[in-house]
Amino acid sequence: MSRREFVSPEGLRLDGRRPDELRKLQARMDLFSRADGSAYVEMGNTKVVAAVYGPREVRRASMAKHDRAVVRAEFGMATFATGERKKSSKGDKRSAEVSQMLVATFEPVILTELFPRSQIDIFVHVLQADGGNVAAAINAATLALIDAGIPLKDFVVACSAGHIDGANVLDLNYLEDSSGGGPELLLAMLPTEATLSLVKINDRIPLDVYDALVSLAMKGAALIHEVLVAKVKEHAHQQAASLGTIV
Amino acid sequence: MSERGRGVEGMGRFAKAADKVFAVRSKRNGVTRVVRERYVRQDWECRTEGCERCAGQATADAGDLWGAFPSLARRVSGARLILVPDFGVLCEHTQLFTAYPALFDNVVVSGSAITRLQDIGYTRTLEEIRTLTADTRRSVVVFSDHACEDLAGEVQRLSGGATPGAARDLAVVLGNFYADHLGLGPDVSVVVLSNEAASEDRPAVTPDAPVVEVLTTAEYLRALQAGSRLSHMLRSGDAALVDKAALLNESLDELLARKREQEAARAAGEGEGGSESLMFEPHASEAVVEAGLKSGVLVAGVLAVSRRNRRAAFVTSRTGERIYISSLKARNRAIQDDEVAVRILPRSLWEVPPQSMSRGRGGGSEGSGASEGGDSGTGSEDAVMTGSVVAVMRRTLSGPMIATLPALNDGALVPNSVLAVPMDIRLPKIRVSSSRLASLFGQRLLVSLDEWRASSAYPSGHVVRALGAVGDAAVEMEALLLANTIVVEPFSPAALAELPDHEIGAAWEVPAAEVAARRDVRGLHRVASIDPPGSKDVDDALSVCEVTSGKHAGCVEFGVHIADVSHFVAAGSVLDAEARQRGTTVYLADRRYDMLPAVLSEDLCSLRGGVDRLAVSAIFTVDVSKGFSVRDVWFGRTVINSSYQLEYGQAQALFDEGVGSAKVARFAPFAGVSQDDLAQLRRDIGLLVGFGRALKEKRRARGALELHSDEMRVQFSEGTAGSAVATSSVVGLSAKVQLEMMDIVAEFMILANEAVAERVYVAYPEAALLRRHPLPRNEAFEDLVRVATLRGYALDTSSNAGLAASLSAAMVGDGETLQLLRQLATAAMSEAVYFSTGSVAEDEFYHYGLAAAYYTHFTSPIRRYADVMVHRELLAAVGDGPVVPSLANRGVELLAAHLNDRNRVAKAAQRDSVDLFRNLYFKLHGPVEASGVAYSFFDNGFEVYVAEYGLRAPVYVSATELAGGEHPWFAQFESSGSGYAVELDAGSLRVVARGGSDAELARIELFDRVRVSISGSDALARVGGIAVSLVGADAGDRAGGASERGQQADFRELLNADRRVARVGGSGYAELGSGARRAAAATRMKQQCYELTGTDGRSARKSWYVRFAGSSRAAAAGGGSGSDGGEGAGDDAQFAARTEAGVWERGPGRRRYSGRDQR
Repeated sequence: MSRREFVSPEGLRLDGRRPDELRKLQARMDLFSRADGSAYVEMGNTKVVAAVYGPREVRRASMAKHDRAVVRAEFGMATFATGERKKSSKGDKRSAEVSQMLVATFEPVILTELFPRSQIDIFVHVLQADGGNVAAAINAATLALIDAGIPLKDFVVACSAGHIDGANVLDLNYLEDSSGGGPELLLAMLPTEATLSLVKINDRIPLDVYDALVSLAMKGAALIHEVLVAKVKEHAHQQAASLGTIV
Repeated sequence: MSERGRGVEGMGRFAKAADKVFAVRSKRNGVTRVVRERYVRQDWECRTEGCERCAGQATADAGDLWGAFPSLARRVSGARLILVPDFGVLCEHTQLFTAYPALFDNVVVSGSAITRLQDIGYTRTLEEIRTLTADTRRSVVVFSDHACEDLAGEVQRLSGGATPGAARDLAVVLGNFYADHLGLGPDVSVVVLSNEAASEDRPAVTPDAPVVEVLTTAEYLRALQAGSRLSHMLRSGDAALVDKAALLNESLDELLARKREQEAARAAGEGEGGSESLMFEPHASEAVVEAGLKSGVLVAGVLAVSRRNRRAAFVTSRTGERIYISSLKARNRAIQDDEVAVRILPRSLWEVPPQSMSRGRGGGSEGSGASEGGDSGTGSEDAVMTGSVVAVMRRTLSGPMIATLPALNDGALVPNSVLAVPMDIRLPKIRVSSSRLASLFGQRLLVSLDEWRASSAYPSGHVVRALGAVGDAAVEMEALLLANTIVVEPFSPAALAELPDHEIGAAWEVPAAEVAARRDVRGLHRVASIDPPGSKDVDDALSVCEVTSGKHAGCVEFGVHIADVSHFVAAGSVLDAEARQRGTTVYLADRRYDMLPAVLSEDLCSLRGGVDRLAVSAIFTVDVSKGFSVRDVWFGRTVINSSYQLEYGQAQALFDEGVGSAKVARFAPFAGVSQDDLAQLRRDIGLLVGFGRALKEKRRARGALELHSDEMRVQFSEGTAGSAVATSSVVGLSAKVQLEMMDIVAEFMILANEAVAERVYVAYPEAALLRRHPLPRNEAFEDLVRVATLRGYALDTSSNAGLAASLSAAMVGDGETLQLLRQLATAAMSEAVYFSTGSVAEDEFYHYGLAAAYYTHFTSPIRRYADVMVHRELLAAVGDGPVVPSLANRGVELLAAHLNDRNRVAKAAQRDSVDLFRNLYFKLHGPVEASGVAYSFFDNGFEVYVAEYGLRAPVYVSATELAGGEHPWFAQFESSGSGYAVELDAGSLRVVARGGSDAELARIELFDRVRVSISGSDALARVGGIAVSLVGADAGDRAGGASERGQQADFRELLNADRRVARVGGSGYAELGSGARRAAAATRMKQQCYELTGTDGRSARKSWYVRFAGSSRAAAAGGGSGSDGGEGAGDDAQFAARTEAGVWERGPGRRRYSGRDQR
């Protein structure tokens, strides 16, 4: 009700994190056997699952591109994702926008020239939404693509950041996002070269804050990258072990 | 996956504990589960000085991120008593923590308590606690126990708050934790404060744990008193502290008892199901308010009660609209300066603000009722936007207020509860009850407001403490300071330790390193400082130097040198924090509270004559031959040596009278100075004056306003100024005399301020500390316009240039009207405020009064903190200083808000102190007769301005004045038979005979001179009142007559406009019947002019004569001379006939028309 101290004068946020700390990050790969690739990412209480189908034959011949693969993405939030049941949000504007963002983010990263006249489908579903949904979606999609074995130029890691109570905070949760009263910035980057792939802001930001916020989000994304790389390696080891090829 | 959380630094310092799960009501009245994450940390630190176990964590404070959290630097001391209050004590006794720093220091507040305060919405308590933790002079820290790994489990279990005693247990857990962590021994030095009493299963001392004592606040204070082992743990165990503790204890007991009563009463009352009738509408809930604000149905703003009429209040919205709140009921328990949400009423219900002055606190009842004083004008043209308060969003009342109890009738029993009357007339009366009421009458009290329930006409509160007897000068002074929230503690030892080791008056050399790093203008520039007499803190000095070579050869360098305070006061030091807290030096009538210690303000920073000093300078290269145009500006640090430390009068005398004058030669700064040097000084002053005049002219052309304040100086009898003042030592009041030299120096300061403002803005467009003056748009301004219009002057209020021009045009005439108009205009101006450039759009930077696009305060760093900040910004901008840390918009914004607040209270205190002594003067020497000007009329009186004392006071005149009543003037009408009545309107006061004739006996018009008798009264509630009674009215003697041509224009215009009242000449009036009017008009056509002569030479009072050509009879009656001939004899006859009927009467210097119009 009354204005909360989203960042207290002691430097702690409502959940006890410091402004530059990520939430607990967990990831798993290869959940579904039917999908070519799948992944599950938890960032704090935000739980996102991604599945990738492809490369496969295009469904409609009119869509085919002669020299590259077509990338399609679909983003949706489960009706039980938020506190109260929502109507199915697969076709609504917001989901459509995020789907477009996913396509725009991943298309340049996937080596599409290797698969002419094919289609790669990315399906991302948010099972529990607690802030940073799209960032988690991008991270999950990256892992799913890797799990599917689709060659990528680089990881795409995403992180959200915001400016609340005069401090730059990393990885906003739902409460900070909605009631914090500050702008939110979503940033996706290719970590090896630290190239920005997507920057999305939903509010006005003063210029000097913008620079600091972008660099903070990049640092956060780099940290996420570390975790995801470790996960991929671990998963690869497991796969190899189960195939009996690793000593 | 990471089990341990990862921060940017990459260290795993925290881990996720269980989620916090709770249920809330959803929008559709269902139940939703809310899940929040909770992370607990290993990297906490106990915030105690000298704790070795946490020493490693101190590195967490390094780095940019922690610059944003300065309160992390706050520490409690492990060597002293540590207080751990529980949630209940925090809520109930926050005031004690704030008001008694010595008794309640070294406090650890638990983070879970802070969270709980936020959850239940105790915003004010939270703010007070946050102020405490941010205060650098105190040791109050917040320990985030809800995030500490070792404690989190216990905290989670106990902080539901539902179980009784949970709050106490929480505090005990924290206390034990501290005792254990710090390794404290059996010697008790952690005390947990909890008002839940100890019981068998809740012993005062927890067994099996480090010894931590649990006391109630009252017990704690008692323990301090007894000189027990606790008291030696405090900072100073002096006796005064013990007394304070004792006093506090008593009031605390009362407080608690009363609170319990209230609770019981409320419980009982509520049990009856709301049978109490509500006098006010309940406040709307926050959700409703937010929704209303967003949709525009409600408007947010700040409430201001009209000083003149307590019943009228206005809410100024954030967009600048003024909404009138017509009655106390509509005000819905909002108090002066509260942030409120207002609903605007439909246009048909809009009302006219009252045109009467409320007389002190008498007359009429408070509380609910029909709208008073404003219902007559519903829907009329004069109605203004009216609204009613729907909710109070924020009570801004900063602290307790000063009040007194009204006197009891003799022999009356002391009641249980009494209404305390605050000294500030805009605040409501407060119901207080105390067991010691009898002893509190006749005392000035510090009263705190508790709550204002909708069922009560008055808020309820309690007495915090008694200051002393009413009327005692020292008590009144303390009350004044407290009411204005001015803190007068001496500088802390930590701050004094940062000062350089130097005795005032001892020789001081500029360090060689400084000379090397600065521009040395010693010997190049001829420097002098010009200040008021007796000033020891010399902020600024001016200098002149001819440029002989380079591209500006032939120009003159004018230097404005300002004391380099930022060199001695480092950013972030304790001294800086204290100076910032004070914000400005407070000048009261008899004393001064400095912002900086005397070592700096009077010696090291002060640019005294004859010694080397460090300065920050703005040097202007000016082409004196081409109209003093500025070619170049240089900013930077310098070393100067001021040759002459002059007073305004001395500089003015030297300039006016020249070198040869004997009087000039006797001035102290010129002793031993050769004639040549003196001549050089005079030439330099001449250059300064020339440049200053050119600057003034340029500013005037831009539209700057010339306004002076009606500052009076209080004269004390010998030897008492500066010390505690007794009533008898006030001997007089004098007005400031304005010399041209003051204006010249001011022009240089303004020039420097403007140049620095622009430079700093260019360098830091997001965070420059500038000063702006918004356009006036307030009650006083409307008064000014109204007064001027009634008097016949048209004021152009569209822009400052227009206002300045129209004010100058209006101000033709004698000195008194000039002064009065000037002062009304000054009072009408809005306040100039500091702001941060990142927060305000550029077109609002404008300084209306000075007509400057960019303005700031740069020239007085010794007495204003804003200037110190601007110095730092300027030096960083020119690359001559360290980059100012935390130079972000938000920090500067907060600083600006703080400084605006401090300035406001300092000015208010200054005004109050002059009022205080002025009223004491009148009490002592009164009643005093003086001449004044009536300048503002209301339904129940008028306001009079007495120039001699700079006094603007109301004269209350009721419709049925009786002789022997307040105003001796009315005694003369007693003899006129059947009594008389008094009629008042916006332009005049008329005494009308009753009983058939309705003849007008006398009249006082706008700007008429009156004689009044001023005496000091013992009005209990205010700072000694002033009673002004009307002794005489020189109704025929209008102050400030316009020029003759203006008079003629008046007359002609009025005749043409067919008004019955014509002002003929500058005083009095003549009511011309239509016949006479025709005659006059006819005469005019023939004559083409009237001749209006001025005084008759007999007295200073103006008499006037109307010469109508050809109307010798009339002229004779009018006392004029000659006529032109017999033309229009017929008209004459008529006119003469009128005269004969006794229409024209000539009194001594007065001209009155009494009688009736024949037609």
